[in-house]
Amino acid sequence: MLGKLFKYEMKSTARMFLLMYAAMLVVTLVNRISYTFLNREGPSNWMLDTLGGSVMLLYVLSLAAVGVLTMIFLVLRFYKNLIRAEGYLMFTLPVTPAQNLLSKLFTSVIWYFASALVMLVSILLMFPIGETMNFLRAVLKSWGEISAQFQQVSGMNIYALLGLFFLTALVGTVAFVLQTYAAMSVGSLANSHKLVCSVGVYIGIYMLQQVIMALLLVGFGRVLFETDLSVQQGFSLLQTVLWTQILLEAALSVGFFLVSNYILKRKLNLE
Amino acid sequence: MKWAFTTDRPIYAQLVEQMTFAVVSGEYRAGDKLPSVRDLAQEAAVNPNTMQKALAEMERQGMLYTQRTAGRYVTEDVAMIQQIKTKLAEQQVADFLAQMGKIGLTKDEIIALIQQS
Amino acid sequence: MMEQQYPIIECSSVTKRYGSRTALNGLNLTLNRGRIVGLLGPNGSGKTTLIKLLAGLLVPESGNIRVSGMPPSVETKKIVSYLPDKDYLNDWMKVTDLLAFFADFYADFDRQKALEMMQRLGLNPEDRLRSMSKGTREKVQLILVMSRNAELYLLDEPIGGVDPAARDYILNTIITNYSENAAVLLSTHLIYDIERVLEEVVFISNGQVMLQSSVDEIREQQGKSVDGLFREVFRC
Repeated sequence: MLGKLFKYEMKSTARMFLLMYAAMLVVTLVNRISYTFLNREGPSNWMLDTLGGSVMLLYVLSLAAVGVLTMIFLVLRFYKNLIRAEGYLMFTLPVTPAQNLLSKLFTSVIWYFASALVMLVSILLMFPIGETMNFLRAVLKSWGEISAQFQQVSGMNIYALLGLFFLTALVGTVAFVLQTYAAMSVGSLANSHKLVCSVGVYIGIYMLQQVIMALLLVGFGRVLFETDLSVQQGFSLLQTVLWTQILLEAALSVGFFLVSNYILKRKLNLE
Repeated sequence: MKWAFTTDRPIYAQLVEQMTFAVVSGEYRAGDKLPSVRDLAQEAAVNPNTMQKALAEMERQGMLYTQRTAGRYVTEDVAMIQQIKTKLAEQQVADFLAQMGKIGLTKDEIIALIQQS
Repeated sequence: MMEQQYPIIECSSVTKRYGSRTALNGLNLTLNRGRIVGLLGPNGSGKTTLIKLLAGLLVPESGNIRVSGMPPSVETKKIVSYLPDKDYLNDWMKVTDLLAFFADFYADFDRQKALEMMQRLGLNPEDRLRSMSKGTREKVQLILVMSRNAELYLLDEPIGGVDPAARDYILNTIITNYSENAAVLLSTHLIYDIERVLEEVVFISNGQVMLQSSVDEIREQQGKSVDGLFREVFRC
């Protein structure tokens, strides 16, 4: 059943994202052309410069929009499909609320990563393809040497570091998504203006997190400023920080999931 | 077949009446196979169980019989159907005469009226 | 004789509150299979709350609910087919999408039957819900629900706000779908039109069952129709 829900969820969201990615690609190409064309040698023309600048601005805004729209769309998808009238369908299917939550979680994480990838590819496309390819080839060629150097300087395996970054991003995304779900679940308990309440709850949780983060950072900050760290110690500290973050976010994820599941299972009250 | 129901009597009793009428008036002849309970219920727009109850009652009265695998049939007893037809007609006549009596006609006046129409 | 089966519904002392308002107050109800039953009561009497509890969309404050011997859960959702009193499907879905969805999640869904019924309404597989009239959309929702070979059908106000032709269509669909193993519980406050289709009625008021009887019994004993009795009982 979870597989079916996941399949259905991906199908329902794919169209929107693929359209958005296609539009982003178009904007990227337009900007690329504009940039290349307008950067030619020759007498400068303030009209062309303004046009070029505008296109670049549009591009940068679009880039940001991909991220923002991804978030808004996925939050609204959850809300519309589970908290509004479609909830009558989803919660009478022979599935558990947990399965509904998980199918949406997996789908969301996939789209966040996909959007990030699209943004990255878009930025890379702004550079001459030839140069980018040469650069990548050079990196790949000397990868062995790079990793060895890295190991020596930092005392860390480069794969371990990359893996750690990826894990941090993954757990961070999962925690973020589950935080929105928890906020919407709690918000759904309100009798009216459920969405507004959800936003309020979300902000509340966010503020709480920031306070706790600030307190923790004070502790770390002390260490950072009062001691002279070698590069190796610096990387070691980085690992500690990241692992701490991963564990905290994992714990938060579990907490958010349990709250959402409990509310949807026992306190559901569709209009 | 036109199904009409009143609100104050049990539906199954009314179904029995209307089905009986259908048989004596020849809509369902002696030995005819009846449609399934579900089809009849659909036609009359009534609950299938209520229709079933009505048909069971008619079976009890002998108007219908069930053949195990084949379904429900109208009785082959033509004499019986005739009897019921006669009784129904007699009832209608009695009602008619009573009504005419209320209006104030004599028997001769009634006969003349009938012969005229 | 068939072996003893669980009654399809058993509610004992069910209480449900919304904040300070009590919707169901120690409600008791037992329903057997093979019946088409009307859940009748004025607005606010608890009809929709009871149906949502049976569908597994609400959790009672106290009391026991059993559907075919089981508490509302994933297992009961497999055998309960629920038609809510509102538009609950995604507008963008096409007929084929809906059929595929129901067939995917419900093992007892008769896709062929549903498709045929929709085609008889003049619908194309590619038609979207958005493009249909309100009446057609409601019929589509009904078809999807009735095309399941469920053990309990819960219909919340299926004929409220539809024209007479649509109403006849709905009642006809309910009759043709009848099965001895299943039960249909439909809630309504429009009794006159629906009385002949019901075998049994349950009067609900202020969150409790006031009366449970067969339609014919009421007519025999009270000399009036269920509609007549209802008006009398719930006279403001």
